[in-house]
Amino acid sequence: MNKLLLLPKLSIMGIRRNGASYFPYILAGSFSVFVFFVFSSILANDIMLTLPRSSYALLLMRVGQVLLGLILLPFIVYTNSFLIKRRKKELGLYSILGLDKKHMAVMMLWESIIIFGAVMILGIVFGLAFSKLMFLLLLNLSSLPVSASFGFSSVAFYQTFLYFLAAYGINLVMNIIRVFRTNPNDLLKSPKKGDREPKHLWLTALSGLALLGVGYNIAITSKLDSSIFLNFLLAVSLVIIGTHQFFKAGLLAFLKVLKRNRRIYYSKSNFVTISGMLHRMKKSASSLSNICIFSTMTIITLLCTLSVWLGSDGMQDFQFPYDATVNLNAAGFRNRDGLNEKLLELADSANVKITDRIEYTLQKLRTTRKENVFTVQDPESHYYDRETIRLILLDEYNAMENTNATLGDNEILIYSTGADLGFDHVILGTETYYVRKELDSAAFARKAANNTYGREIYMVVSSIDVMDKLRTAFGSTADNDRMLTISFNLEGQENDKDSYAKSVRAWCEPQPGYISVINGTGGRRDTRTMNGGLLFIGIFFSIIFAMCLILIMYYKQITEGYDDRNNFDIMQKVGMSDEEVRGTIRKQILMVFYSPLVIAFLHTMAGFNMTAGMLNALQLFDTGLIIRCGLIVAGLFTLLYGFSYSFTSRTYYRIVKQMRTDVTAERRIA
Amino acid sequence: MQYIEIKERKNTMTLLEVNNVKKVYSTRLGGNKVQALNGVTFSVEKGEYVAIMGESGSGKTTLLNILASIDRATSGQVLLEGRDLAAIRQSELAAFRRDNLGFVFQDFNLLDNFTIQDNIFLPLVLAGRPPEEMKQRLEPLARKLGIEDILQKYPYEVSGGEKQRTATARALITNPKIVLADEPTGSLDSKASSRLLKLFAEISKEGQTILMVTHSINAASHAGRVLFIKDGCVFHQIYRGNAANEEMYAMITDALTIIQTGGMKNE
Ligand SMILES: Nc1ncnc2c1ncn2[C@@H]1O[C@H](COP(=O)(O)OP(=O)(O)O)[C@@H](O)[C@H]1O
Ligand SMILES: [Mg+2]
Repeated sequence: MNKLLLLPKLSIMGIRRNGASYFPYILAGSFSVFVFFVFSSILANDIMLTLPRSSYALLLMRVGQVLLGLILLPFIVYTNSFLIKRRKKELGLYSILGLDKKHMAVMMLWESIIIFGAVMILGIVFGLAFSKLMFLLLLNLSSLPVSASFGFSSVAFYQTFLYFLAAYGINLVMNIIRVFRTNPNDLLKSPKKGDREPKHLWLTALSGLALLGVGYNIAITSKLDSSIFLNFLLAVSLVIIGTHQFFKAGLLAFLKVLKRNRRIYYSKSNFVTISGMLHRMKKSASSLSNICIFSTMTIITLLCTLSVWLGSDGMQDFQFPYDATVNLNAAGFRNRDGLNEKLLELADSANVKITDRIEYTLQKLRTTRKENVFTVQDPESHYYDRETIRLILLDEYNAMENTNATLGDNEILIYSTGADLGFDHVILGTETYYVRKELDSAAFARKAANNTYGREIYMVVSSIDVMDKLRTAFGSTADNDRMLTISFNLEGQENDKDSYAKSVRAWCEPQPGYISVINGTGGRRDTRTMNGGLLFIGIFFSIIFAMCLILIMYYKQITEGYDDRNNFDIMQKVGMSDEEVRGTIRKQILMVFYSPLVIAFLHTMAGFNMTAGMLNALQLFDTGLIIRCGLIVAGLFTLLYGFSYSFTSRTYYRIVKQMRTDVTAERRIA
Repeated sequence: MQYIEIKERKNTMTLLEVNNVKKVYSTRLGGNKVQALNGVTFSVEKGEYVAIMGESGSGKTTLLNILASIDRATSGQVLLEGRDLAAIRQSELAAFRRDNLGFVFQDFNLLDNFTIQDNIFLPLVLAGRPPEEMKQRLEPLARKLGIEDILQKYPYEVSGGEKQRTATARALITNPKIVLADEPTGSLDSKASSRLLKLFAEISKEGQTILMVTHSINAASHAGRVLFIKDGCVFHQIYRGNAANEEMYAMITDALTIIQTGGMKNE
């Protein structure tokens, strides 16, 4: 036959014969192309730029695209390396049959072209069919105005094409290197040797535990500050390496202990399991580690996604407790009556009604804090030690809260929007003030115990004299340091509320003493937009991680199925019943398969503080909600894990079950 | 039929009885049918060492698999100590095999994830015997088979002859009623072959019943009786009587020549 035709034909045959492993590979590749293309399309479409408030979503999509690129590449390379390893025998056979290396390299090239083509076509076709739908999903999640004009973008296509060309190009190079390393002997002496144990078993085990310990420690103790991302990366890398070490050595050590106990080892249900696992511990350990890591990633991504989704209302309320807030410079603003009149007049014409109105004077004191001692702010002092105290007058406080608290001149009420301060007295400058009460809530700002980064301290003082005295003492005499704040809610249509707040701002801006007008309606919508982008990314990433997880699981089962098939055949001949084969397999699964899940849950628990910290940074402070989401996700994920387990192990059974016919067939050929 | 009926039947008893066993393989798609066995009949007395000879493809392995209850006959009967194999329930087959039969295969069928010792223990482990007993049974056996020194090695670390002796030990450790061997010397060089055959002869002398499938004349010449199958039937058989191995060898060669020239089929 013509050689030009033979090679592509061999490639197609190669792919088809290995369909059980190549089909999922192509499917996963197509899905990767699909997701990448969707992200690129959304980014590349001009329409996105023209939408109001889309900048958050755009930024998130860009971050998402970069992350996708970072995650998909190693995944694609990893799965390819798995596939090509399985074909060692086939390649050896070709070289015995006289196909020289050059031709085999050409065959590999054909194979890559076919796979790349299939993956691109499938991915792009689905991308074209669904990217508009995905775009609408993003708009909907982000509560952005629905826009129907979303077209094919050649830029997105090129980006996708080039990225995957690079990825599959790397695979091709790896495969060709492998071809040149194969020698025909590999076929004849099939490698039956077991994995050698790592040299320093206990050292490896201990180092794994140590790495996990340090990683856990960083994750658990890290505080929400500027180094959180660095800490996050550090903890993640430590835990990933630690997990690999742990599975490598921990599993082996565990098995060896079992093997040493003759009663346990020489029992029907353990004998085959233990020795089989010892035999291929390296491969097992690495796939178990990867399963564990992807499980953790899936769980944490799902946890964040679900928390943001369910916690979105709380986040919006925390950031914007009122529909509108007007901040004015108390000294500069003279037209208070005019403002009140204008507010009502504008409300009338905007078709909204003002409710829950509060009004108070707020004096800022810029201080440097050491425990409960607040001194005049030292410009040299560390950023962390600086604290702005917000003073509020007692009578205004009473009016807002509808209380009639009383205070002596040296008494205050304290309200922290983060954790309680727990002081019975504070020293402001030189004077001591006794804390009458630490407040649990206040009308003017929300409180959350885990709010650390944006925590504010309010102090209610007995009179304007005290306020003035402190202002002088701390030198906080700038005009803007004493503010008049008016906050209120609105009744009416969402859009009307938004435009009302804007018109209030428009009126206030030119007034002397104007500081700011906060539009709660608009602000909440911005938060929703950002959350929508996060949700969108979270959904896709969860799916991608789960896909990686399932594929690795599936490949693990296939490889082990082929490895074990011969063994089970022999054991059946020697007197193991079908039932016992099944029992052994089930045992193996119980012992090994659920260990990554358990460890992944441990990882998640260790990472919980950090995850919650990052959600806190998004102003999601409802720890109870995050824990509930964690439990829901844990449940769902266990189901997913169990499902993909039972699906992949059915493949395993099927492979092991075919053993008799296939083994005899092989024997007849040989 | 050239059937030398020397039914002396002194105080021997029949261990295995094969009555008119047929086996038809139909390919998975149901198209072609292969008649692998076409009415095989013979019996094996307790303590006998029987060799079954035949060309490649004549159905030897098929027959052995049926005797081993790994495969089922299409028709006919196999009785072990009077018990019909076909009547054994699927769920009990494995245990039956483990308790009554020992196997030696051409390609050893050792498990690479077990040491030599654990490979030998395998059937005992499956039978749920305590480790102490396994040890006790192994010691004399390992000495007899000359594998004491390699017990802790893995199959890929030992020679073919050692592998086959390991497989033999695995077959013998359960004290089976009958040892079934499928071309046990097929993958061995001549030195390892003759060592194994000597071993089989010794074991046989100790009273172990052996049924060995082979196409090696040399291997068959060690047996007490040789059955020839051709086209799925027992075609001829030779008893050793008091003949030495060399004489037996010559008898087998003669028989094979006659069979190949096809002279004596049907009266
Ligand atoms: N599983 C099977 N399916 C179909 N045909 C088979 C199967 N096993 C053996 N055969 C056929 O049955 C015949 C006898 O095979 P076998 O018993 O292996 O012969 P031997 O061991 O004497 O070489 C051959 O023609 C072979 O092709
Ligand atoms: Mg055969």
